[in-house]
Amino acid sequence: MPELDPFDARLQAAVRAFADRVDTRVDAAAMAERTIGTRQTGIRAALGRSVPVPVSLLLLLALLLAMLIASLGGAPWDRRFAVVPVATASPASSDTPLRAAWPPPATDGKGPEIVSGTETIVILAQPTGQTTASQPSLHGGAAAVVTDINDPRVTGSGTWRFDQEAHGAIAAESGRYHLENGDGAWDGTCRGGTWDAGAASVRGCWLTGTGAYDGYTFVFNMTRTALGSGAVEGVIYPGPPAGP
Amino acid sequence: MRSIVRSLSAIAGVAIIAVACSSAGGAAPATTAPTAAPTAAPPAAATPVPTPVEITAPPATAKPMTDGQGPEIVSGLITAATLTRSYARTNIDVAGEVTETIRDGEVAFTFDMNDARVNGKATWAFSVDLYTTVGPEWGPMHMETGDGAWDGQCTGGVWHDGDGLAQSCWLLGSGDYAGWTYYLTFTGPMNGDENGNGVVQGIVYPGAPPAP
Repeated sequence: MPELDPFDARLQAAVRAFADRVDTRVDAAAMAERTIGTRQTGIRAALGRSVPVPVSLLLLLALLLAMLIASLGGAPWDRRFAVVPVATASPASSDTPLRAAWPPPATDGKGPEIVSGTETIVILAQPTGQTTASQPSLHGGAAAVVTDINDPRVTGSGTWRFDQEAHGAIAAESGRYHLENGDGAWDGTCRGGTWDAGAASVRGCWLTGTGAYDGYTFVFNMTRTALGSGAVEGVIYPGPPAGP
Repeated sequence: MRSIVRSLSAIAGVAIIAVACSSAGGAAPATTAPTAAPTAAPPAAATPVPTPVEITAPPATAKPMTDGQGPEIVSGLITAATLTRSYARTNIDVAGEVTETIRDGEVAFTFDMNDARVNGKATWAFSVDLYTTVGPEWGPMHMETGDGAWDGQCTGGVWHDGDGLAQSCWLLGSGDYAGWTYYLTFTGPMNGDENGNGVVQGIVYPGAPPAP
């Protein structure tokens, strides 16, 4: 095939021409880098290996995991992180049962008792008179009272007749208290203080019984800090008022 | 994916080391605990450490103070009560009458009040007639504060050996408080506030107590 000779000759010439232009030099550093890979450095590398999150975060997670395992695994934990003192017996803790017993339950209405409840008053007449510094007395105050207490003997209605000695926005007051119900009555005196135009007051009262309550004493404090019902707390006992 | 596996391997490795360190530390005597532990360590450290409890401090009292001048409404707490003189207790045990008498006891109170004139310590010498567990209680109270003193009588009811009180006191001032009256009512821990303190309410004014 003599017609192919020129073709073979031209191909051989072209191959030689390409070969002559090839750069056969070797870059050793580049070759080494491609062989061992690029060494990772920085916060996303550990032991030369790339990791997907910062190493410090990994260490933190590891520490938390260790603490979790330790707490679940029963390893003694010396509570070094406890910053509150270990509980000791304290008056406050011993008082908890006391508070739990207050207010007292309903009584059977007999004998000596702890009493607790409310007193509601309606002013029938404001006390009147001079209120100068030299003569701060006000007289003739009257109020209707209704009590709702855990003992039926002192649950009822009555009156509170009082005088006041005004000193600016507050006043000392005293007067007579009468309380009754179907079985008897209680009468005696109260003294205390009042403010907020009579809406708030505190007083202590000593009452003695008549009727079914003859021979008994009812001593109580009434505390009312705002308009409305006041709290009554005290005792009933089968004896006379006592004191100095 | 390979990176994730490497990460988990790293975590597991560090965790194992940390657990080992923790176990070693926990097995050591308590004396090796860091000194940064609370200084208020209980004296009975040899006993098993009880489960820590959260100790809640009493809530801060929203207690605006008065200016300590002129007539004032006063309120506060009895935060401490200590028997400073023992009493004589006599058993009478007559059914339907006084069952016991208590005489000449004395208790020291610490008042935390909203007026400097009545804020401080007081002593109360008390007597009681008991009808089973309740009865009347009375006696003189003496209070001293920075600029004067208050003296007068308290009367009222008592129950459960003083756990419950309903007392009412009329005190006269001396020193800077001469010519003034301090009227107060106070409770015991049973009928006091949620922390077992006695609750105090009253007034201070220039004048004498009202006639009974």
